Amino acid sequence: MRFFNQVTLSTPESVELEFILAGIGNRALALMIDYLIWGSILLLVFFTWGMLSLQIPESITSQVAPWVFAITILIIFFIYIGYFVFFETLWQGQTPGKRWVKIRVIQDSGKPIGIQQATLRALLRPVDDTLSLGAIFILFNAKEKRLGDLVAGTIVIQEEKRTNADKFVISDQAQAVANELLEDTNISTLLPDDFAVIREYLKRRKDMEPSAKLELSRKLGKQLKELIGLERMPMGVGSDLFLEAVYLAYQQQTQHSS
Amino acid sequence: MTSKPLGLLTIGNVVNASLRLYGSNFWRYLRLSLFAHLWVLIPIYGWAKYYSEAALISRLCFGELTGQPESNTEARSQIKQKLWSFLFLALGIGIRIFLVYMGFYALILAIAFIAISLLSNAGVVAGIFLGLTIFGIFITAVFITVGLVSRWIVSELPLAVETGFNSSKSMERSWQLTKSSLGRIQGIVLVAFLVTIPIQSVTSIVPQFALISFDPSSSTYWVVYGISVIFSLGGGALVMPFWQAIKAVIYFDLRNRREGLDLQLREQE
Repeated sequence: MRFFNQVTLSTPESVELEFILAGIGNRALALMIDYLIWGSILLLVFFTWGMLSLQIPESITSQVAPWVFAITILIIFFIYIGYFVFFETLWQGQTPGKRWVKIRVIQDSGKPIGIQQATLRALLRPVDDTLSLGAIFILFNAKEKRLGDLVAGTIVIQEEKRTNADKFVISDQAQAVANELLEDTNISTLLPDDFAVIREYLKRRKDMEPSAKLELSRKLGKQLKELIGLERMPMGVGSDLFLEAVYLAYQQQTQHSS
Repeated sequence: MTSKPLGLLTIGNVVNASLRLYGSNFWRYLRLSLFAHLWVLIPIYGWAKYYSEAALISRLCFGELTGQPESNTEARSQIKQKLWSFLFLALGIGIRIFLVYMGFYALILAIAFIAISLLSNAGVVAGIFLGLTIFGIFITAVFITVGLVSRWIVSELPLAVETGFNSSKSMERSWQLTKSSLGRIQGIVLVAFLVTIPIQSVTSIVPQFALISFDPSSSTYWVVYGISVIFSLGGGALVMPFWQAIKAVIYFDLRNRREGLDLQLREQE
């Protein structure tokens, strides 16, 4: 089974694009954050509006009361719609909540959305929020579209992870060991999948439980030793250092061959 | 199975993966859950059965996540001898949280009692101070209780999935794994709860409203009451596998984070 909902879009230029849909979990979290921010903005505006309306002399309050009420309703409406239209247009399909959970609204064609789609989505949001209608639509629609998405022709996707930049520390001795490995062993027998496992390990190891980490690195090291045909581990090289060295060696080997 | 590993999961994706797990095994898990809810009607043995069937669903989910799916019978035979442990586990957690709660309650009562007897005719300032202190203790109590629940959230899983675990060891393991993930777990539970609102609104809130419009002395009221009970039981049965899936995914993700469970090299030919 697949744990994420994947869609393939073909652009007018017949380029195929693959996306992972945001899913209701991410969308619920983003919406919660947006409503918190939106609520704070609204409170602030109400406070100011209340202060201003206190300035109106009492003699005319009774006459303008319906107007004040009407204007208040209008303000709520404009902030409600405006918040989403403003951010989704300005940030190309993202609001502060969506940015936080790394999801984005795009058109069915894969293009970024404009003010038109953002407005349609925002105008239908009150309908979608009623009795969680939107949530039910997202759950049962193959492309996870709520009413606003159906009308505006949009989908909500997860932003691609930027895995290019590996942020982890590699010890200084690793390069020397890597050089040895490049000379003595057959690093090129490693597959990209093997490399991905090593990279993931190096990325995550700082958050691992020490004993579990040691066990895992030993196991991976032993398996790698066999995969690359290393006869015996170089003197004084622990399993962590060995994995770092394999990581570097594989990287340098692919750079040379390409 | 997935062609590529799941990787570490964000809050939203834990909820997504749980929903998809449930969705692709919907009738199977729902059947188990319905029978588990029927077991509740039988005291003690039925309750043990309820907890072990719930744990069974989590075990099945975990099997899917690790790419080793099991049939109901296979999974059940693995946890059969631990039947009572799941009840003990639930009791163990329940009693601990109840004691903590009672401890805070006693503390608040004691403070209020001492304050009142000492400052019987003290002014407003003392009153406000007392009120704030009690409010502070109350907030602390809420935080600590929520924290404890979060740390024991995956206690069922080691018991259901691994060998050589009893209920107290299982709680310890949950405690260890959830260390430094408290915020994320609470986020997951919050979002999962939000997602269940549409279901809850249909199965428990709507029948409640329907009840209001009937006169309690009429027989229609009791018919509607009966229907509403069936609805909320059904709602419970519908939602339970989702929460069991959430726990399984949290456990899986925590083990990936803390132990690199998913980091495995291919077997050499």
